[in-house]
Formats: sequence, structure tokens, C-alpha cells
Amino acid sequence: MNDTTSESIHRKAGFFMLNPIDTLESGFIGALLITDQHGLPLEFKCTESIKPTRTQRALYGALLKPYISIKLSIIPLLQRVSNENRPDILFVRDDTHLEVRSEITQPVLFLKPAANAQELGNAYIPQSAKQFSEDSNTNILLELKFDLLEPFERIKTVTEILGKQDERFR
Amino acid sequence: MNGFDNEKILKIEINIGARFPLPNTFTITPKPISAPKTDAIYYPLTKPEIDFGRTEILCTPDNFYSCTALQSSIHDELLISIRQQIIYFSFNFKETKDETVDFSFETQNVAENIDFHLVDVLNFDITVPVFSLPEIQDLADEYQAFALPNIVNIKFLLNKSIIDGKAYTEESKKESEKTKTLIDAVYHVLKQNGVPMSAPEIYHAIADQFPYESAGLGARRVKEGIKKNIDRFGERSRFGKDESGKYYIRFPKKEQKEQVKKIKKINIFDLIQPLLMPPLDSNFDSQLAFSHDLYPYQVDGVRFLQEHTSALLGDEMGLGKSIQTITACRSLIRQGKIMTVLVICPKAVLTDWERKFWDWSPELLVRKISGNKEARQSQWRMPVHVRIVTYELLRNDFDEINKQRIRNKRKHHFDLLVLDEIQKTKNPAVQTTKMVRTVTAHYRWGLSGTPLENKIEDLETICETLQPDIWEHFDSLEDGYKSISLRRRARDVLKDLPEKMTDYIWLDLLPTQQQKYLAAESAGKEDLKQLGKDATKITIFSHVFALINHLQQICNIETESGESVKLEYLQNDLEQLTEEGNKALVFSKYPNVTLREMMPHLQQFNPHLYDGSLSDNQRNKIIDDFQNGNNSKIMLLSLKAGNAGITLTRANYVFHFDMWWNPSVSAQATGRVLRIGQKAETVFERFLLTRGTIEERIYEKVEEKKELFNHYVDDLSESEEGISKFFTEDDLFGLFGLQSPNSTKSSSVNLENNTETYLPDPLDFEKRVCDLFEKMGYHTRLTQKSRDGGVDIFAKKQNISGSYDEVIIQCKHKEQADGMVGIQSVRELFGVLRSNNRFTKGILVTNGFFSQDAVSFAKDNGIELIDGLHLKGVEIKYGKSGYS
Repeated sequence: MNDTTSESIHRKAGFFMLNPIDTLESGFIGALLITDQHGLPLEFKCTESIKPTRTQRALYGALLKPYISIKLSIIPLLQRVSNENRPDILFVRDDTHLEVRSEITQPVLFLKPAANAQELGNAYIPQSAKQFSEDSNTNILLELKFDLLEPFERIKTVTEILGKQDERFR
Repeated sequence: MNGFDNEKILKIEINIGARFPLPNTFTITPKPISAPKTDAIYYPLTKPEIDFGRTEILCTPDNFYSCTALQSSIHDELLISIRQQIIYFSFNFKETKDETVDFSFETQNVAENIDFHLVDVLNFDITVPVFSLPEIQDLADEYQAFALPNIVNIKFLLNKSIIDGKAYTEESKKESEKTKTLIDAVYHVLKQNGVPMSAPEIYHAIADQFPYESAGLGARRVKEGIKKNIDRFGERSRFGKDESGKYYIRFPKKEQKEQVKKIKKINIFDLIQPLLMPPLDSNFDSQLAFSHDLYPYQVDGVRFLQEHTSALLGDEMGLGKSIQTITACRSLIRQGKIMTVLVICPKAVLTDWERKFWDWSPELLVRKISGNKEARQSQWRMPVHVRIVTYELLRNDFDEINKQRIRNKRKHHFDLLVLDEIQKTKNPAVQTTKMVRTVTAHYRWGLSGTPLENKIEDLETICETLQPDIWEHFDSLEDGYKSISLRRRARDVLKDLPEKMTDYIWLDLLPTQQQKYLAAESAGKEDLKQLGKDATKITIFSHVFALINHLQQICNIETESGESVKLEYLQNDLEQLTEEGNKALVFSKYPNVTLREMMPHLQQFNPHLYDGSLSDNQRNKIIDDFQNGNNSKIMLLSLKAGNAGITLTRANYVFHFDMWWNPSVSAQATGRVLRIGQKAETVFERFLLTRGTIEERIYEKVEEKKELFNHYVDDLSESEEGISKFFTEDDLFGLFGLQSPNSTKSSSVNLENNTETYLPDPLDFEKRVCDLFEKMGYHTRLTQKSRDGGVDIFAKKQNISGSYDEVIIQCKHKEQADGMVGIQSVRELFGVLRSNNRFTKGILVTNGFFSQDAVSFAKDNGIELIDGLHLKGVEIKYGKSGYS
């Protein structure tokens, strides 16, 4: 059905985190929260706990977490998001997750709070990140009308509760 | 980058990151970690319906759920079955261990270990002297199928022994074999009929006739019992005997369905859904968070509660203590600080709490604890956010609450405990108070509208209930009380309050009331059905109103038994408000069967009765005494007598016992107090209504026709003639799910020229509705006729928060203005709505009217209905659509 009515842009933002299931990082849960431009949740997906064995830890080494994050979490989670809720942009809190940029179409931004108030408004755009030179992506950020770091707190709380309530997430 | 909201995003750093170095060679290919499964929840929120049904466990490895609540119920079922089986086998031994033998099973802590999967083999001994190994193996297989194959393996360790030298006799062996044969026969019959009960459960069902202790007395006794049952109850007996002489158990179809009803899984994501919502705005005035506004003093109250683990909210009656509590509870859950809540309240307000939770925190899972013991057991085990229970039931179910805490390995029984009307626990010696104090919680809040400062001894007990160690921190009662309490009177917050505050209190009929109500409604409907097509309009209205009045009277008070849920609620409220020095009026249309019946129960308040039987002198005397004296606290008024121009400004609380057809009537009644001379800052008006009765249906009908009243109210009477101007015969018959016998003759109100309304054809009707929604601010799109997928109009409107409400609309055109739309159409629309989470609402529009079933279904499932009369009213409001 073609929707011929006019509509203003309805932005969706994705927030991804990889949370350890315990302090020893014996396992991880990947979680993806999709919200609308006001921060209201549209869809939430998470993996069951991923528990690498000792051998796998040794062999993957430093690549373990990026592999789990990207190959086993972000990509499959995004694939399972319903069509109408596909995010226009993806935010992450770990810079190793940026590697997923080569695998997905959405722009990916790494967020962290500024330590120094004098750096307000500063951002670094490497020339190779061509996606961010386009106006449409900048506009996406402008249309998101809430604290972009806050949804990560929700994800963290939820994965903690899931771990307590359900064996699949321990 | 310029243009960012610097308060929200301080810095964005964009970093490419290093690429993974590719390995040159691997001598061993690492085993990839298998991709895990994913799950999702969907928004928007819908009110969850959770029904565990019976606690039958039908789990397969695919749907087994590791939620601890389910685990504990599985554990109990397992225990029961094992317990029965032990008795089954050991009944042959007169001197054997008694039936408590199974309790050794619990003392070994195996129970808890099963819950947390620390064991995968359960070993226990059964004294089985004679049965052969294959028979035991059969039973072991039975349990294997019954239990969870991927969690617990049960092996029976055989321990053949003879107790005290007495040998197992051949006769008792035959008896036990016969019992087993009986169980087998029943098992196969049930299995063939799709009722997969296991052998232990069947035995339990058979032995249901007998006390638990005698369950092991032998097959002969069991069969005797079955025979007696058949003889006594005949066809109604649960048991039967087939041609071959074998006994069998009969299950009525409904019960059969219940027996196999699977436990509906509680999706773990339902529990965490509130945590995915944005944090509540600190001023609680965010449109994203609330559909209703809080007054500033209520915002303060919510903050107070959140900041105190022990708190006593003592606002004056009517200021919204429960709303503040619900909001504070919701906020704490959203922050992840609490997950489980118990609200303990008087019985009269149980349903009202449930309703308020739905209105003020729809995303929370709420369960009212009620029903028989089995049902309540399931309810306690459900993983929900909020449970609501009465003080009486808490005493009965405390053991179950305790079991849950132990099983879930929780420090406290609940994260938050709310004690409504906490003054009921003022006596420390009473069992209720002791029980309440035994319930542990991190947050403990008490609510009371009764002024407590004047009752020192009560205050001390209440403070201790809320904070057991309070006297370790404070030396004086005054200091301790002040540290945990917040009390506002209406005059303290008058600047925030409107002139009148109205509350609808929904109550459930008491048991005898309910019984009488249903019988009267059923008989009345039969009478209405007998009305033939020749019946005049006057006769029809007369019959309908007679029935409505009769039912309303039962809702007020059931005269034979004296049961009245409204009276119980009223008494509770009156105790509080009169303690504050307030006075109240109680209005009803029925002076004889309601007001006079109530009088004896309200003597402590020295009530006056003001009705048409009084002379002028008597009336003046009563009014004078009420207005100027201190003795009489309440006045009961009949609507007719009390609606004259009398002034009763000494009262500032008004209770309406009846559901009024015409909203202006209640306004005029309340006008007795809301006039010059009223010294209170705010008048509190309460409608006491019963849920699931004619009152609720009248309420909804009146809500639908509010537009008409706003335009056309010029008759304030509640007379049949007055009401018939706004409600057609079909409207009134529709209250009972019936159609008027003269529906072709019914005269619908025409808001223009009293002429018959031209009813356009279906397509015109759809265009008319589409135009109307455009005028209401929606963007609309008519679907193509042949490919509409069950939707005629898609409509979209941006709301205040900036997000979009997307609505699907189905139009049901009727050739006659009084054509009826039934439940099937509503179901169809509901099906479409459910299949696509994008839509926030479904609306069904007709130029006719809706059947009662349709109205009920729509109400329960969030579908909005617009019937012909309502449609006309809305068209007038937004301007005529152009169709006449």
C-alpha cells in the first residue's frame, strides 16, 4: 500500500552495548535498544549469554570481545529488528564496536561524555568517515531530542535484571 | 559540528578504530562460538492478561521456562505426586512409617537444589517389598515423562524390606494390583480423550473423595467410594462405569479444557518493560510519562515517598494518596530500584486499587489476590510487579508468601510494601498487625487519611510497623513520627486544588449481592424478550426501566442479606472524614430501599434522612441541625427532595450512591454544597459504582453521549420521559445485549430537524467518516475497497510529545439507523490491530449501534466504538460533514 499522505521524518536510534554477565567476564550479553526520536523504546533485542571457553579465549585473544560484539551480537541483532524499526543511526559506547561500520549500512557513532566543558561542541571527523560528511546524517543527530547517553543506562539495568531473573542470561 | 544541544551531548568523538590483524596461519582452527538466540519485545504497551489457570504442568524441553516462579510450582507438583506414590506403595504396611515419610525428602535440601539445578539426579528410597522390577520401572518412566527430562532424572532405588516381620500378604498384593489396574484404565481413557494426566495425578483425583490421611487405605475403599459417588449423584457423578464393569472418571468438557490448559508463559520481557522506558521526568509532568496531570502537592508527595524507605503519607481524604503512591512505585520500578510490590488494603477498595494502577501505570503487571486457595497460590507465584491483597487474606496466605521468599532466595518478601488504611494495624496485639509486621520489605509505606496525631498509642504502633528500629534513631515519638510522615490537609494545598474534585470508585459486588443481581438480571432479560412487536413505546420503556431500577437497587444494597459493598466503602470513608470534622451528603434515587436500609448501619454518625415524606417544618429543622449543629455528621437525601434549592454548605463531601443518567443531575445535587457559604476550599464528590453491572454499562453509555448532553441538556430530570429523549429503545435494550422488539419503529434523536437522517451508502459512509477524522486533525487515507486487509481508513496524528498516533478505522454501515453491529466485527478489528504493533488504536464506527457483547469485548481490548448517535454528536462538534 502506498502511503500518499505527507509525514514528517520519524527518526529511530539504535543503542548497542556488550555487557559482561559477571565481574570475571565469564560471559557476555549483547543488547540493542531501538528508540524513537524522543527516546521512547520501540524494540529491544538481546542475545543470550555468550560464554567463550578457555580455549576460545586464548585463541581469539584481544579479538574475542570485538568478535562477539560484531559478529555474534550487533549484526544478528540488527538483522532481526523489524523493518519498520530499523534504526537510522547506531550508537555505541565502546570504540572497538565501530568496526561494525564496514558491515552495516547505518552510520555508527561512538559516544562518551566530555570530561572538559570547554570541549563542548567539538567533534573529530576523520576524512575517511565519508558517511558523516553528508547532511542527512548530521540532521539525524539534531532530531534526536534526548540525552543520548541515557539509554545505555537502561540497557545496563535491564541486562542485570535479566541475569537475575532468567537462566538464559547468566 | 554546530547546532547541538550542548546540555545533552557534551562531546561526540568519531573514531574509526583499528582493523583486526589477519592471522597468517592457524595450526588449529578455533571452534566458533555458536550464535546465540535473540528475543525481542514490542512497543506500544498493551495491558497484559495473565491467567495461569490451573497449575497443570505440561512442559516440554521446548517451552520449559526457567523462571523461578514456574520452577517452584513444578517442584510442588512433583512433591505431591511423589508423596502420593509413596503412600500408594506403602499402604500395605500397617506398621510402616506414617504418611509423613515424604517430609524427609524436604529436609535434605534437595527441594531447593532442584530449583537451582544443582542436582541432576534425585535419589530417594521407597519401601517396596513385593512389586517387581518392571512395575517399578514403569513408574520410573512415568515420572521421567512427567518430570523435566532435561533437568531432573529420577531413579528409584529399590529397598525391599519387610517391616516388623509381617509379611506382605497375597490379598493385599491383589488389592494393590487392582488399584493399579483401575488407575491404568482411567489413564488410558483420559489419554484417548486428550487429557494427559499421569498415574499419580489420577490416583490423587480418585482419592479426592477421601481425607488425605486415608488415601492409602486400599483399592477396595477407593472403589467403594466411587460406587457411593455414582449411587448418590447418578449422572452428575464424576465417575462412571462402562459395560465391562470398569470405572472411569468423567470430565465435563469445560473442566477438560481447564485440565489441559497450559500455563501461559510470563514473558520475562514483560517484567523488564518498565525499565526500557525513558526515566520519568523529575517534575512528573512529562507528557511522555503521564496521561493525567499531577497537582504540585502530589508531585511533592511522590518525591517524599521515593526518598523514604519508611514513610507515612497522611494526606486528608480525597487528596489522592493512592495516586501518589502508584506514581512513586512506578518511578522506583522504572529506575530499577524495586521489582516487587505488595499493596495491602481493605476489601472494599481492592478493585479500586487495581483500576487505579491500570489508569496510572499501565505498563506494570498487576495482580489482585482473590479466589479460592488454589487460585491464590498460582497468583502468588506469578512473576508480576504488583500484588494487591486484603488484610484478611494476607493472614491466610502468609505461608505461601514465605515459601516464595525462600525459593527465590530473597532477603525481603517484597521490595515495597504499601499498607493502605494503616490505622487498621494500630493494635499491636491483633493478629493482623503481627502478620503485617512479619512481612519484610526494603520500602515500607503507610497511607492513612485519619488524623493520627491525637492518638499517641496508635501512632507509636504505626511508626514501629513502618520502621521497626525507629526508636534506635529517635528518642521521642514526635521526632520519630515527623521523620517519616507527610500530612497535608485540603486547606494546606488549596492553591493547587480545584473547587471540586470528583472520583469514580469502582467496587465489586459482595457474594450474595452478586448472586441476587445475576438472578434478577437473567429473569429480567427473559421478561424483556417476551415483549412483542405490538408493545407500545411506553410499555417498552416502562419494562426496561423497571428492570434497571431493580438492578440498581441490588447494586446499592441487597435488602434480604443486607450486603452492600457501597455501604462498606462509605462507612470506611465516613470514619475518616468525620474524624477530621467534615460532614457528608449521600444521594440516592431510592429513599426506601437504599437510604432507609442504610440508616441503621450509620447510626454512629447520627444521620438525618431527607426525603419526600417530611413536612416543611421537619425539613427546616433537619437542615438547621445539620448546618449549625455538631451532632449530625451526615445527611441521606433522596434525589427529588434533595434537589430543591436547599443549602447544605456545612458538608464538603458528597457521595452519589446511584449512577445518574443525566450528568447534570449529579452536578445539581453537588450544588447543594458547592455554593456561597461553603467554607471548605474544595468539595469532594465521589460516585460509588459497581463493576460488571448495569451501572458500568450506563456509565459507558452516558460517556458516549456526553456531546449530546453538552448541546441539548434542557431537561434535568431522571424521569423516563426525560431519559427517552436521549436514549432510544435500542440504547436501553442494548444495555442487556438485546434488541428492542420495535427496532424498526425506534425514533433516533435527530440533532437537526427531527427528520429521518439520510443514510448514505457504504462508500459514502466511509468518506464521511474519513472527512470527520480530517476535521479532527488526523491525516487520513481511505483504503482500496478490495484490498483493505480489514481496514477502511488509516489515520495519523502527531501528538504533543511529537510522536505519532497511528489509528486504524473500520466503518460498519447499516441501512437502518438502529442496525446492530455485533462482537464479530470488533474481534476482526482487534485481530488486525494485534497483528501490527505500529498502530496505537483501533476504532470501529457505525451509523447504527453496538451489541452489549461488542461493547464488552471492545472495552476489554482497547477498541474504541463510535455508534450512530455519538457520530452525529461529534460531527456537530467539528462541523457538519456535508452529508445530510
